[in-house]
Amino acid sequence: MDGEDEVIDYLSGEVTDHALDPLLAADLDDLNALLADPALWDDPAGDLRERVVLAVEAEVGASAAPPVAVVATADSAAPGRRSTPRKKRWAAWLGPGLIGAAAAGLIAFAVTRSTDDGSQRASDGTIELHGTDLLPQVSGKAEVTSLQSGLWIQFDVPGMPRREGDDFYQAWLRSADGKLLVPIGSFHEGDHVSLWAGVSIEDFPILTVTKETAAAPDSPDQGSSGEVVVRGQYDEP
Amino acid sequence: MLYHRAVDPAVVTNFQRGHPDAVREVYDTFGRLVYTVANRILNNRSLAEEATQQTFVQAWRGAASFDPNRELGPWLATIARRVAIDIHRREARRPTVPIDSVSPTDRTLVALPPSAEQTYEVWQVREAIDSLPPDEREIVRLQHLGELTQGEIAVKLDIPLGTVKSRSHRAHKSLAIRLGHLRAGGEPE
Repeated sequence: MDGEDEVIDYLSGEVTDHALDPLLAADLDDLNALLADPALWDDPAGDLRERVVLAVEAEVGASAAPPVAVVATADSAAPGRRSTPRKKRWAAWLGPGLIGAAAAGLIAFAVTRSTDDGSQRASDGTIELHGTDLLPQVSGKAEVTSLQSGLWIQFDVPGMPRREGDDFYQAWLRSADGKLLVPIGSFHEGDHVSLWAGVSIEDFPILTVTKETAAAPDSPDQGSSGEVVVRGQYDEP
Repeated sequence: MLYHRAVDPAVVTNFQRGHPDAVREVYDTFGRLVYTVANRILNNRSLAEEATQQTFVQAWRGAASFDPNRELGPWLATIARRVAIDIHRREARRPTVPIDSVSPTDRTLVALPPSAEQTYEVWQVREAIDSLPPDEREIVRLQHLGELTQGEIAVKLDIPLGTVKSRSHRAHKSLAIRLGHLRAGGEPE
């Protein structure tokens, strides 16, 4: 290492004057820039793990013969094309992994695969959705699929004006008598949204979407605003 | 040694079959790294989570072509990068704020998507960060993300300055060793 303590001190920002090789200093600057990037320190929501599992489970169930996507192609796995010697050393380091990935992608071939129990998990039905007077120009649908882990609702209502910052849309399932309300997810806009519910669609057949604004946990504004912008009802097939 | 996280080939085989427990194990090993790659590109938590979910779905779709004896991490990183770029392009087609109100430094405005190399650098750095003991990790986080001096960190955490210095030195030494191969001319330890 090029003066180990000097590298460590430079990396920790404890020196302003140094005698490091300029290329090495530049690399350490790159590393420091990454260490200062919030994206490198952020963690996903805790429930993402189960959302991933459910999404893969749904994919497995929905397709007895899934298409095999060529997910690693030459352009994404050709780090050796960089021109500088510095980056060529990068390529040598990257070699086994990404070149392998490229090979895997290039030789991808279609296969037929069935689920473990040989079954196909189909949608339970579709909810036709329409904008209310607050958003009369939109319409769409939600496809409902019962999985072992919960109810997966693929919501798609194009054209809903984007809400972001403290503002968002909140989706709900409401019981048939209107007395019970279950939150099933929040989102910015209505294109291709995955919602999840831990109740049955038969017991909670009414799907609504409201306009919401973030509020403190003890705020009276927690819960539905009542400003329903999209509504639909599940009818058993 | 490149310190790649790895899962047992049997887990990869079960992942190919879509076994939930195998998906959980692969997620536990690589999920945070996939998310970090996506978040670095998208600069948006919600979209990064969407990209993470899609990455695993696409990985399952393509898993039949994957050799279980290969390293899964680089392959997932490649998928995550492509998925995130696709989402970035999708979002870019939907401007929701006037261009004048976007900060000139907004990453989505001024940055090109990272190369495959840069993507895997992000992956490696996140992996190295996660490998640090929590007390050292916090020092590094406050130094780099919080832009605090060691003296300010000592006050903030109410610990002696000497403790901050020693933890910082250990942490950065660990990072330097683990990430030494990223540097010009550096070789893997």
